[in-house]
Amino acid sequence: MDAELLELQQQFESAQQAKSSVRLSERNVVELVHKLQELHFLDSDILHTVTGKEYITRDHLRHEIEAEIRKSGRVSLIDLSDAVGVDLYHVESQAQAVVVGDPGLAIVNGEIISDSYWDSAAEEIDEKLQECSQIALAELAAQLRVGSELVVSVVEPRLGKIIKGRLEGGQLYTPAYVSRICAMVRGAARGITVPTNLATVWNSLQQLLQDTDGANGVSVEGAFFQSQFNGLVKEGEVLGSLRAGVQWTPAVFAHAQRASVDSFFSQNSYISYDVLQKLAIPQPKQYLQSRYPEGIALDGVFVHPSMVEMLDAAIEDAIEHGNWIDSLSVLPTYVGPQDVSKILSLCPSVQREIKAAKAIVMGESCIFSNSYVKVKFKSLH
Amino acid sequence: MEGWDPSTKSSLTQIPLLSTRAGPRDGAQWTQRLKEEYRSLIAYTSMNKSNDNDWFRISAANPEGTRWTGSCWYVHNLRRYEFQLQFDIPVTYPATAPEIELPQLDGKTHKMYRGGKICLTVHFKPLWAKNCPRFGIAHALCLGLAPWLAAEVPVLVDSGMIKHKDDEASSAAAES
Repeated sequence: MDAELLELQQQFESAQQAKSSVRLSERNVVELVHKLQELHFLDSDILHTVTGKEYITRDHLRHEIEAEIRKSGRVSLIDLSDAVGVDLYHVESQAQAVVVGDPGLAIVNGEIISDSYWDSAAEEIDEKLQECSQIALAELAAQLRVGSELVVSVVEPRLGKIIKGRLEGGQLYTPAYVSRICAMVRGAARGITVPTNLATVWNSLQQLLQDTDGANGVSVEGAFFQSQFNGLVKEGEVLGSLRAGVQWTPAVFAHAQRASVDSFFSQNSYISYDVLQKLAIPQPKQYLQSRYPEGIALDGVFVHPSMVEMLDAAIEDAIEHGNWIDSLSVLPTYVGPQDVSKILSLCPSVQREIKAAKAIVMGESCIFSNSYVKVKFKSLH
Repeated sequence: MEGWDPSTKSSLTQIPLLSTRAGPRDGAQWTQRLKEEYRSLIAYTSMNKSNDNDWFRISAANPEGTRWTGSCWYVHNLRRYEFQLQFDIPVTYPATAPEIELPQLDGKTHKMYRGGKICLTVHFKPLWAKNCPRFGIAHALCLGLAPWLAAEVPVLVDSGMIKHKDDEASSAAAES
């Protein structure tokens, strides 16, 4: 017999004996797996994909989730569910487990975000910051699609390390920008010579910034100016005093005020409250009393005791010579009638003479000596 | 080739065709033909195996390769019905197609000649004639026996003419 024929015969035989490849329909497999689960040959926690075509164990799901996270550092649970093709419920529970197992991960608003993602985000932020010199956190939050509080918590620990800048009132600034603003504030503050409301100053600075930076210039909040300003005040770069947080009185102004009050008062021994009001001293009486404790505060003017002494001397002289005197003629014109009686009550000679009935006060300001009145009566008779 | 279902058609086209026109009396030519028969059978079998569609075993019963025996089976309602299979290579082969016999089913169905020769479809004979030297045993099984089994076994089972061997055993046990 032909050897080739024999060979073929054997080949045919072995082809018939060969094990046929097993083909199972999906339905069969599902039933088989179900059966295996029922018989506890498989771990009971087998999940299946949303397509229903694949089975997946929890461990493998966790691996896949980890791999997805490694890809970009940030992945939303919903996208994750799509990517691994497993129901969101299981993805969520496994994601929790993954996050608990890795301190570098956190679930934020349904997204798993790793620390490395934040690091790279911070690098991006820094790049942008160096370009624009300032960024609002709200803008960053919108860009990263996370809450601004989260952005703060992310940015703050990386300030000075990855992000070279500073955080001020919800905005990030580069040191250069900060020093520029600082210079602006210092210039403005030093230029002010009269008491000013700072808010108006900041507004004009803001206007100036916008004009120079053009449309893309970002609005700097007044609070930022204010904090810069406060820093300058604290360092003694600008001198003055701040009242109610916004009212700035420059030292140079206070100095001029004091100098003019001093010179007027020392020259005239009195000063009218009107004058002080003109110098923008809001409470002249208190101001003067604290500055000149020896002075006498009247309703309309503030007088030095020397004024009273002078009046006293004049009245004493008039009474002694049997004459009369109108105090108003001696006193400065600012002294009103009601103030006169007050001054008179302070004159020791007047009080003494009236007590001794040597003089009488008439029409509030006029002092007549008794002898003068008697002479007048006699001449009338 | 109208009248065949698509899977039969696709498997048919994949069986290698033969070329030698020789019958059992043609000596060395027949040996050549037999080799080709084996090659096409090997191809058909391995194709069936890879598609999980294995349904027959045959082998030459004599050294000349003119008589073939074996078995074939058909799965109906998840049960496997197996039948003995035999056929002779006719003297006028390949002009005449082999007449495949299933002796166990003799007399059980009218789609059968005496002796268990299966009654092939009207499509088979003209097709065989048209492809005279190119079709071989593998084609005869694929085009003749396979459709016949697919058509007849379910009817036979449902009508109770043939029983699964498990059922036969149990009914026999019940009778005794």
